[in-house]
Amino acid sequence: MHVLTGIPVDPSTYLTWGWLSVSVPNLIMMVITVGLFVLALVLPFPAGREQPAERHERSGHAERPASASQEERR
Amino acid sequence: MTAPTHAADAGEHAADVDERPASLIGRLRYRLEHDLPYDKLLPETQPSYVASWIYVFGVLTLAALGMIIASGVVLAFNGPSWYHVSSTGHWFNSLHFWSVQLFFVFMLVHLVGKFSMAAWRGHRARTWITGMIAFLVSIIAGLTGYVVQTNFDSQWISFEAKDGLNSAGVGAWFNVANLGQALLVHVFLLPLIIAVVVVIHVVLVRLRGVVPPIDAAEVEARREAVSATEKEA
Repeated sequence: MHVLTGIPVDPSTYLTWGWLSVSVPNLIMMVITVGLFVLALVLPFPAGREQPAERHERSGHAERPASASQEERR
Repeated sequence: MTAPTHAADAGEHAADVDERPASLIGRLRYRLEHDLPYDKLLPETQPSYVASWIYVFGVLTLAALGMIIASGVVLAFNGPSWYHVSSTGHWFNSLHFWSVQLFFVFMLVHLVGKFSMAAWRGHRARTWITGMIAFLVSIIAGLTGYVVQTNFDSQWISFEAKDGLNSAGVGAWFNVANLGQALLVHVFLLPLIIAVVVVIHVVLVRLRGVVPPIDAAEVEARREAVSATEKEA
């Protein structure tokens, strides 16, 4: 029986607006999800290492890279 | 290079068909060698448009899935009498729970991001479909996870869910009030399905490449042209 006493059974706090009822933990997760999505769109991505083909192109050589992957960076 | 004639084309095509093995294994090997060589399966570079945080959420979802499986294995070996009472058990229980929360957060951002860039473009319908299957199966895995907690929470959830499942007509074979069934479905069947679908999803991403933004379709067209030129050479 001592096992059962260790189990938390407290219900969460619920926020209610008319027909809409949402628990605070769920609301927090929703806000985090939307926040992450917005941040992913607006935050700049750190620059990666430059590929040899890019250095080659930037130095003024107009020669096309040997493969599609070299044309790309990261 | 001389202009190819129809006869030459036909000859090449016939030679190509002759090269193809007749056995099932041989055909699979031929297909993998031609469509998914190692440099395409395990690329070191990605197109420049992938340099955005929105493209990171797929791999974050995979990382969260890895944590779910690892913590789930620990929970499975030690059992409820350990993870309900031991402090280490509580920690692993929480690790499993929060990995699931992050898994769904990352997957939802990944889903909305891909939906907003119409990620099924460029023959990527199967990639989109397998992603959706993984998402839907994960929801069922989440439900069975809540049901197998073996506490009052799981009792409440299972008895609420059984009414919903009965009304949907699946209660006869999927009974969430049956702990044994829910446990086996949660720790074996659904993880197996998710793992297989995710592997197929990732292989399809490698096969078709990462979807470009809608306004970067020209970039992809150029890549395909370069790729086709290389194949011809």
